[in-house]
Amino acid sequence: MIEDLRSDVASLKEFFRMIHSDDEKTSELVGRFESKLNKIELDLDAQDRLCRYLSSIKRVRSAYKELYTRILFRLQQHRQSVYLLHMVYALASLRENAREGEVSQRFLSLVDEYIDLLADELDVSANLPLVIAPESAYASLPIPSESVFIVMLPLTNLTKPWKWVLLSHELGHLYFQYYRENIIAETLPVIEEELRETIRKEEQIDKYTNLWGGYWLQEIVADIIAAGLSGPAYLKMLIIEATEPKPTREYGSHPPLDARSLAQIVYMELVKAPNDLTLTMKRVWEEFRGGVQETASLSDYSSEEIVELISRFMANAIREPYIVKNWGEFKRVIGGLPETKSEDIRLVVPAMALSDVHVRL
Amino acid sequence: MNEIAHRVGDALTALTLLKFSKMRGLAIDEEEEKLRERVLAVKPVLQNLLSEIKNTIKSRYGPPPLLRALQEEYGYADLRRVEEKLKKVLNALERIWKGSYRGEDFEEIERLLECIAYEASSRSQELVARAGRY
Repeated sequence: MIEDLRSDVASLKEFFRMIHSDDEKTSELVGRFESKLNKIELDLDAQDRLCRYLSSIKRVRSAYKELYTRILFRLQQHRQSVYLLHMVYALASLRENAREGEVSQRFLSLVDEYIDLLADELDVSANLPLVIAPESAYASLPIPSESVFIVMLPLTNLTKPWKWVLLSHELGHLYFQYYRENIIAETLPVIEEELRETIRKEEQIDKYTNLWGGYWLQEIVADIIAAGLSGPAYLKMLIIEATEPKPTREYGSHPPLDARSLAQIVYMELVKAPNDLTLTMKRVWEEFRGGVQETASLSDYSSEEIVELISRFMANAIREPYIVKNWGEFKRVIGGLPETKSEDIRLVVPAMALSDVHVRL
Repeated sequence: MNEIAHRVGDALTALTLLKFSKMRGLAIDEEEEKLRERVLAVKPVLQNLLSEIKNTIKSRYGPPPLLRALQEEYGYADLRRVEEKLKKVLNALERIWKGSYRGEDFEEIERLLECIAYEASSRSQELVARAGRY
């Protein structure tokens, strides 16, 4: 087992060495994980020594078994680390592959700049490299032990900047990680109370409280953060990405689209966003929702009351989100499209999304 | 979780070696003081669990996975009893740190750390499997 792990670590070290590049973000990512690999290698040596010691106590059966089990546990942890490092390597090499083409390299450096600026706006990126990796879906991989946050976007969307507003949702997950304890302590008991008022079965209350605590609350918070950064453009791209014929349908990991959109609109109303901003969001939503056959409303498990209380909490946490502060500028940028030179990328990206300028180009 | 499993796993190995040397009279290569340091490295993890208990009681929301695992291990519904157990183990760790070795301290610490280590390990596996579908 130790030899097998040792050879995996050696291969990974070689893989990481091969993707060393002139790209600052990739280098930082690779550097952090190379030192983790070195640590694993050192501990494998220590486990090897323990194995040799083990043979000297073979006759003391209970001691032998205890130490053998301890060693196995350590090796299992290294196996998991190796698996995680494989994922990181795969993501880093996807990033490097994307950098090979001149066009995609340009887009990658633009999307890097975009996400760094958004993270600064949220004040969540101190000493934490945000690394974009083109993968198959919008997703994120926070690795707190190495202080790295990897954000994935579909490779097919790398050259579609208007879709990048969806990255602001991934930053919302980072925001949630930062303030997790406070958000949960302040909102979850109230959510549970709401559930108790409408649901009788205790096991259903537990099930949905856990769903809210484990997944849904985080998703709604991430949506509100994204709306605060990108405004109606985020809602529009969320609708496109979700491609949801049943907006009241609940998923294990995500609340219904109806709830997600409601949370954003209510939040904008609560922070007293400019009227035309909120109206644009409502129009974007109605254009989609009005055409869907399903008329059912949200269930008691994800009711409007629950969604509103999360929006209220977030409105107190972030009273003047970026898009509200910059709505006037945003309108100027959108009016000037397709001309984007020297404009702030944080406004150009959502402006492209909301205006459909790419369709006309 | 992966980090917790690593740290607690290492403390358990060190504890086992200390026990071999001090309680069972087996010869070991490692220095006693280094082993005690490795055992004590688990203290911040336990202190963090104590503050999680306080937050959980305050928020009235269900306990996080590691506390839930401890509740199951000891059969305690009341988190205050888990809190007592954690404090007891922290005291046992202090005694070991000072070089005072008792069989019951080793047992108490091992039971609690094993529970945390295995739960952290399986949660870490779950989280890594879920990563990418955030």
